[in-house]
Amino acid sequence: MSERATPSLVFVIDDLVAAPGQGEALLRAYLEQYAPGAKRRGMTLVHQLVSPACWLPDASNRLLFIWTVAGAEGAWAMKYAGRQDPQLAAWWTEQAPRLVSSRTRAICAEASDLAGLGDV
Amino acid sequence: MFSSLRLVTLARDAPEDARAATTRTLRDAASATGAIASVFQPTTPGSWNGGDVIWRAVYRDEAHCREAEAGASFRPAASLLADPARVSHVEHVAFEGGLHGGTSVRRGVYRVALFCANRNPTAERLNRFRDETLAMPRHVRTIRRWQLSPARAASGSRMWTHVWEQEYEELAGLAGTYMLHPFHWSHVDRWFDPEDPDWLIDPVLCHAFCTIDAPAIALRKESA
Repeated sequence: MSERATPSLVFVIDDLVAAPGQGEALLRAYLEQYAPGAKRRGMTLVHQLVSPACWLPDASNRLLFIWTVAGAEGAWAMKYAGRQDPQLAAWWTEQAPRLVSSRTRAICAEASDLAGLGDV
Repeated sequence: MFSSLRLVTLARDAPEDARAATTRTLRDAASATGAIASVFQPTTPGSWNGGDVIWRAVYRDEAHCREAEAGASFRPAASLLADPARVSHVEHVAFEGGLHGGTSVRRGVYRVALFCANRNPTAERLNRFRDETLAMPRHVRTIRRWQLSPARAASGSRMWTHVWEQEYEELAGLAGTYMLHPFHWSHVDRWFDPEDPDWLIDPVLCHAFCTIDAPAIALRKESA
């Protein structure tokens, strides 16, 4: 395993399609109910993007929340902490579905960091 | 080949000599039941829900396993396994050898994980999970031998559905490379992640490992 002084940034991207007309409510709920716990799990919110760039009262906005954690260790720390928290599962399985039509989560890295991350 | 695997947790409040006697009786049974091969080793610290002992016995087939575990030589072990004053918990799976690959190490580390796929386990999702799990050895170069088996019977904390076994040359291959490779934490782990819409596996799982001085993952008949 090669040593790295500073772990590569790992990006966690929540890509949420809001239920029609619920874009603003979803943003508010995500920031109030989900984000504080995520920050306690070591995640840093770097972008909260909305498409299209205006709220749609009768259609679906797409919301992208881009977080960072510090390397593989940060990713595992986030995951382990989350798995101990029943409120987190409740957010995704009970609360969020009221406002979300569909969603994906992707865990990504800069292309230039892939070789280093895989050198373990 | 048919395997019966137990993760045995000895009663914490039992006196040390009783714990040693329990271990001795179980070990004696492991070598007396007529199993073709067996692993009986203390679980290495760092395991989760891995108990104190990993006991993996390989039989010719399911009937041989059933006969052996109902036989007289297994009876002392069965009695202890059912006695909460001696054994506080047992995770058990019985399984026919599944998809496998690689070359066994002569000595090193054996790891077994027990999973329960109970979150919307459609055939399509189970197949994707299986395929991605089976792809791990192509990325995690420290996995020397592996096998993914569906459980035929299970008991313990969950009704285990999958038995995921690997052999490594050394612990660093598991604790380091396996855990830190991005194919694991940024891809396959989403099946285990309550935050991911693909979440499939119950958060309660077993991750147990021990040292071995002979191959642990039995070969299927066609590979033997």
